[in-house]
Amino acid sequence: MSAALELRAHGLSVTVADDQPAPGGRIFAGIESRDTHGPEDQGGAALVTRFRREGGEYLPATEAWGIEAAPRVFLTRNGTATLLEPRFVLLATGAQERPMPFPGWQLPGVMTVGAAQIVLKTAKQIPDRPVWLAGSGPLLLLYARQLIRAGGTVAGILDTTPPGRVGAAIGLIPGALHYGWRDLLRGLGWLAKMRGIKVIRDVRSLEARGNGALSTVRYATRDGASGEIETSLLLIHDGVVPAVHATMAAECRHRWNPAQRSFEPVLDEFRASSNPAIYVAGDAASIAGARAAIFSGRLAAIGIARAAGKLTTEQAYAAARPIRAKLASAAGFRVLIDTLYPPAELAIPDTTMVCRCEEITAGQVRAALKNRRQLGPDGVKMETRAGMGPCQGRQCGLSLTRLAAELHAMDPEDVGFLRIRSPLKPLTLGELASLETAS
Amino acid sequence: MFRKLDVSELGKGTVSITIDGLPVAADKDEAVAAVLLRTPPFTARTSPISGAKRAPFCMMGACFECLVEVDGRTSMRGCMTPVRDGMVIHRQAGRPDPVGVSEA
Amino acid sequence: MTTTADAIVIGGGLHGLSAALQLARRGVKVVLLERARVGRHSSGASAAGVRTLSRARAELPVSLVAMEMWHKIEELVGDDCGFHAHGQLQLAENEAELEKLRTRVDGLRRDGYTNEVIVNADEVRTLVPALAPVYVGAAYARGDGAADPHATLAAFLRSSLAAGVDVREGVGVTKVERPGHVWRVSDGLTTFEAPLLVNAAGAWAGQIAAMAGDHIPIGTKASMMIVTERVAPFIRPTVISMKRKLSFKQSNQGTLLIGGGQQGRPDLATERSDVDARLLAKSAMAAISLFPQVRELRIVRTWAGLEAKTRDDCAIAGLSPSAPSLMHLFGFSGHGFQLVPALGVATAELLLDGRSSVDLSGLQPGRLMDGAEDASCQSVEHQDVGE
Repeated sequence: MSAALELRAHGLSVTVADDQPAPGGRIFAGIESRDTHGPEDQGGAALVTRFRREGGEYLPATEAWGIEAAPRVFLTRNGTATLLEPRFVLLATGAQERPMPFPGWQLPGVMTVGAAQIVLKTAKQIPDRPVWLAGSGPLLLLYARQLIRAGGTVAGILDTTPPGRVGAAIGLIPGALHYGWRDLLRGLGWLAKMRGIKVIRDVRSLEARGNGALSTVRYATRDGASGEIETSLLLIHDGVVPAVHATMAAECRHRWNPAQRSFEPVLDEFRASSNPAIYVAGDAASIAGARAAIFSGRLAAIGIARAAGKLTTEQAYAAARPIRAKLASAAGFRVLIDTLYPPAELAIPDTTMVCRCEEITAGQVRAALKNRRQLGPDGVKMETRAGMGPCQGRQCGLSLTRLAAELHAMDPEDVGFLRIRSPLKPLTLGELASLETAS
Repeated sequence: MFRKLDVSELGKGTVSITIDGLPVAADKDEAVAAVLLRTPPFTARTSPISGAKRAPFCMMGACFECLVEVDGRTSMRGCMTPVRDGMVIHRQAGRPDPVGVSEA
Repeated sequence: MTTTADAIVIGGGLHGLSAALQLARRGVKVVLLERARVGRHSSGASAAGVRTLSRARAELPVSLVAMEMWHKIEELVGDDCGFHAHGQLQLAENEAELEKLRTRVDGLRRDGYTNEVIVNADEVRTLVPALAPVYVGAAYARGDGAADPHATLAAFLRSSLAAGVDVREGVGVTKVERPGHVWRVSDGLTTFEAPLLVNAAGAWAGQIAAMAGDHIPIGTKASMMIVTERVAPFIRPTVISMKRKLSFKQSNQGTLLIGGGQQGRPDLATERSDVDARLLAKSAMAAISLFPQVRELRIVRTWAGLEAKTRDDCAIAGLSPSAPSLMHLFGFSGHGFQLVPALGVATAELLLDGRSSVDLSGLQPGRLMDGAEDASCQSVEHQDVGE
């Protein structure tokens, strides 16, 4: 939204394709139809209002399923496909939760924390029974707080955060303070409210068990303790990663971010990718949070305005300067969060169904990789069918890279990610064919 | 599995849909998957590979677990489909059948 | 560092593996060099049609031999490769088209080939009840079918390894020389020497041929494919329509494979092929026209292949006319999969015995090289459908 507004301010025509039915993305999902508490929500609502008024052409419930280099963007809306050929494309496709596979994670009754949060925000629903949370990261704490405030019950937390993080993080607090002091205070407040909730720390492995649905969770901790918990609902979370399917399908170059253990598009100082007509903003570029996304969107818009000749280079740099300052603050806070909550990356036993769609286990993946250093994620896909299902590698891609990197002692940067191609979402044959009748 | 925060929330613009033939009340515009999460047995489909039951997992369109049949259209992501009055939903059993689609 | 062997095979696709397997089973010490990984390009992007239907005459003899081998493929490579002989049909939508098919089948029959028959509309309906009633009849090859491309690759790789083939992935040949009586091949790091050489380098085989002194012009194809989600059993035979540029089948996993030859954009240098969505939309349209029930089914992935194409759309399978002990095995123009088992045998025969038991006269590399008379492979009404 902020990019669209900035682009319009520089006199560029903008079309925004949104797969959601209304503006707001994830953070401000459904904000137009819910009460707004607190300064952040109110800021989000104001942004949405401005966007509706001045943000250009808005296409809700519209899936972008293809991006070709020229750039050509293929959209589907109401069962019909259209082709847009803009001068520039800005991808603000956000983040997804880092896949957190463990044996039994595919059982009904296991969901992501993000999912529960979306259900709360958009459907105003909470679990009707005490819930266990498992994983690591601020979102876990945030949801726990929201759930308790809404009258729900958190039975306990299986904390997978590796030990010693607070010590490592202490030195970063001053740098993070200015940007995120509210967040830090809130976090401390939440931690205080967590009294009465059982917290099991240093969890090293998880296993979900049940007959057709979750009934128990087994865990083991770093120091050798283990246990079994009875629960029919487990919410999991291990941080978020950029949703890179769009940038990968567009053949943009990516690099491995070792701190966040995810792939990110390689971007220049104005958020342009390796394809000079394709820009990336927000968490799709690198995880930095909602406030940073607003600035990042504006920065990319300034970059596009410059490339389009609406701003001189000097003007662009001048306009970007205060934005970069904000982004630098955000980055400092991000480093603190990353240090406090590095990806937990539980061990993946052979029985783990790393590819949920095709039901392929880590054992099958490892067997394919054995003695085949050249195989890589695409080779694994060919041999095992992992990655061939409807989610197109969103839930298994990072696991495949990790398993190959571990087995062959390679850098994930060298292993790479599955080759991602259009369609980015499974469109119907009829929708694809409608492109033919349209032309 | 899940419940509405405030049952009276359902009063504002309630719509009536059916899930596997049974009528269910829903909020206008809430996601089909959210309704599934409060309708026993809280599942969406059975896997076309093994027949195992699956349920909504990510609620953001990235996992494809919540695939259901909506008004005769198969493999619709329930989390990306807002309910409409009169919507006919069937939990998807295994592989969609191009020749025979469930009767309403 | 030099590795010696009796034979070097360049190219880790199915044809390279098949050749290596048959040579190894004749007692030959084989090293197979593959630039990336086995099955990286065409073989890993194949629709795996096992087809004699509408084969060019030059390919038909070896195709028929290959078909017999497919029907006993488990004996050959220890795995059924997912092969099912549900038949293949080429549709005629009006009398004129049916007449052309009839002429072809009559011609085949006259020459002793019985792999195709003409079937009428009722028979088509019985074979493919789901087809929209746009047809008046079809050419039908009952013994044809389809296999699983990945199971086939895995089986040929496994068998080659079991037969003692030394498979080297990550070795991209950059130099081919013939000092004396051996071929010397190198990737800049390791050198390999052997008296026998097989060029099965797919879309790059023209480059390898040139290194060996043979200038065989080839183009590149990037046939596109659509794969849908898994659906309930829907169709058994493979259906082809030349007119609509459509090939339509259902895999063992239940996915629908829709091809037919719409072309994406190949880039040999970057080893990449891009899908052209606007052209692929035509394939989707063709599929829906013949099978209206599939309109709401979802496309899970699409791809464009990267394969060699000859001027006359027929394979190259023959010894080099100029250099000794060099077998050229490439240029399959989008329909090489079915020929794999038989051409491996022919390669071993040609290199070791000097002659093959199957007729490859129409597939000689010389026909495409400078100085050749304009001898095409005499395809009879052969249009490439892609698989």
